[in-house]
Amino acid sequence: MQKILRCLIVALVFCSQDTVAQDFSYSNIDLVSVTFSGGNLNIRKDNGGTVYTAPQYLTSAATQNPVAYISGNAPRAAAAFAIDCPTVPDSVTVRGIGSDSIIFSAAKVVVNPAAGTIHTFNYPATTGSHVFTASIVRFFKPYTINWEISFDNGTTWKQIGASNNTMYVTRSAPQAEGTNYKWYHTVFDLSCRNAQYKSLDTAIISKVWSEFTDHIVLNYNNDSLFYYKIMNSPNVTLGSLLQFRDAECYTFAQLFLASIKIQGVVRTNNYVYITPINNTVCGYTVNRFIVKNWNFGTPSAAATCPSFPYKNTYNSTTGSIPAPYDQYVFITSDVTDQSGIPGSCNIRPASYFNNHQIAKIDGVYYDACYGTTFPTLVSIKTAAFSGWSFRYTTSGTTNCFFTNDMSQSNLSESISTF
Amino acid sequence: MRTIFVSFFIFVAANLFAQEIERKIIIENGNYFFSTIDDNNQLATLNTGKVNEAIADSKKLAMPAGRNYDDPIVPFSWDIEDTSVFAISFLLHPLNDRNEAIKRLNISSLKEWSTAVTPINLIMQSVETNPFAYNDPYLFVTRRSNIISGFFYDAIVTSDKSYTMAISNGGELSVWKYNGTTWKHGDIFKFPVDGYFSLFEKDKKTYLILNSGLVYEVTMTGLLVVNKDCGFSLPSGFLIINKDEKTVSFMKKNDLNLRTALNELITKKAIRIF
Repeated sequence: MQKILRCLIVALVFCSQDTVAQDFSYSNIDLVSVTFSGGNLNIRKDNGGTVYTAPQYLTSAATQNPVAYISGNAPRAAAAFAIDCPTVPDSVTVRGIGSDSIIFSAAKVVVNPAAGTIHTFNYPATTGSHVFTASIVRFFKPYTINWEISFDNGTTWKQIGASNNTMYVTRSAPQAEGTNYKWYHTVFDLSCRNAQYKSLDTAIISKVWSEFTDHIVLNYNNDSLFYYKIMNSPNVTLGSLLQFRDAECYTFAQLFLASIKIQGVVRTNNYVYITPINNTVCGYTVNRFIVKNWNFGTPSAAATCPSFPYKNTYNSTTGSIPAPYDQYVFITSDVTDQSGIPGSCNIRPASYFNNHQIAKIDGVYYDACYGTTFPTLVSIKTAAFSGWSFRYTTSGTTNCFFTNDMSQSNLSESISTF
Repeated sequence: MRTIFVSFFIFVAANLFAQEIERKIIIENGNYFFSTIDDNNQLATLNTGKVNEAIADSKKLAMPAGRNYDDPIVPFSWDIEDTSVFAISFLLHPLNDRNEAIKRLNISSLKEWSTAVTPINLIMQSVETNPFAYNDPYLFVTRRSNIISGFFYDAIVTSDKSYTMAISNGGELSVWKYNGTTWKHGDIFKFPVDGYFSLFEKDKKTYLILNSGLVYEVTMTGLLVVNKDCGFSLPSGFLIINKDEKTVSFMKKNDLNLRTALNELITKKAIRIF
């Protein structure tokens, strides 16, 4: 009886506020869920790679699932509602007003009668009034649909809740997934967030790249993605970067390229593996380089190898970065690691390498983990390296010889398509 | 601590056979060997046991070697000769030198997976282990063309005691032999491949099986067509190289039963090639 009185009181209040309003309304209507369909793209969770499922909006959920469409398409949405009242009409009219002025048109829906006071009704899957402008990247955080109900066949409307989902609209159809390249949440987010309103390949590439240039690369949740938070990070795949938020160079190149591929931008021969040319010095192959900055002290091995006179040694079992994996540990050292070129979210990442992975687009080398571009391969060594090295292992000790004479070697590149 | 151990072994048991057998099972002296690759850390596990036992009960040896997950995947290249396992370690790691990727490991030196055997230490061990041979074939093909396309390789130890590798890139294929001191290679010939291939030996002849199931005899001057189309795709299963019975077979992944003795499973399910 109290509920009936409450319903009547609410109705009277509405009547007094609006003389042209409907005769009767219900205040205790809840939006339960919203399901997007109609060609929306699968989005994989950063954590584990499973695909977000429908309903994408669930009032009872702590977080809502993201939605993605290809531009030139209209979103399509269905919604479920519950009404708590002992008496309800046979049917009501429902509509949605979405972001970007997209209208989900009014539909007369049946109220499902129930034995108790809680009844349900469902707004059917309905395509929005217009498409997202073709060939334009869009980013909605959130994409809101204000849901409205009418008890008088659409003469007057009352708000009954709003759904909020992050929505990504890609410029074109994303390139098909591969083993490493998948449609991860952060790939959509980073790409659409930065390339909002862009259309041309070059503009999209430029805007996506801007995410990397300040050394702060963020995932969809504004969490930092670290380049070598642990100096011995074992993570080398895009999935592991996004899951663990800490990884090696390969993954940042993959993230940059994936964020372009997700917009349907096609560039082949874009994934470049660089390593010394393997020239021979003092009987050994030059196969290491050190990224700025390293301090060169007093050379102790000039008699052994005049052109690589600096020598460090380390335990070959534990490697040069033993547990707890936060710094280089040498048994003896003429050359020591200093702060130098910062990486993503890390001012002092690992810097002693055999190889490095970067991207190459339209002739420009993009080093995503350092947020730096290079016009040529040869310019990398002069801009970023402190020196070259070779090493050999004997009786559990690795002997590394260094030079800061950058003319002693060069980089080679192997180019594949990510 | 007890919880950690229990969790570790549950993890190993749950994940090991979710991983696929890389290329082949080798049977030698009544023992079987096969390798799997960890989805996360790229490291190989050498599984071994008696051929009359089920492979679910295999001993799982951690290898300081592995391979990456770059597209297109080149399955782990490995072989057994007496007490050694040969491997091409194409792990993605900033210290892993592809020129030093060819490793020869003593099987008895491999430790079973345990909490004391950590992936990071194994990767470091792999990086620092001196190579069995410098990877001249890799350097050769990448210097010939630094555009990596149709890049695949496999290598085995052949009966002439040489380490034989076939490697393809850019529509070309070449065959290389390392005699313990130097590499020799045959002609470079046009041979586009659209997926990985595997090598095996039978009656002192080396064969290459394409992912389409076509078999070729490998010589230093080229590939000879063998009138044999095995009728299956290589990625649908794995080879069984039985060095004891001198046979080569193929088994589909779907026919693998972890609880059946391997020799019984082979009798029932394997497709004989040679």
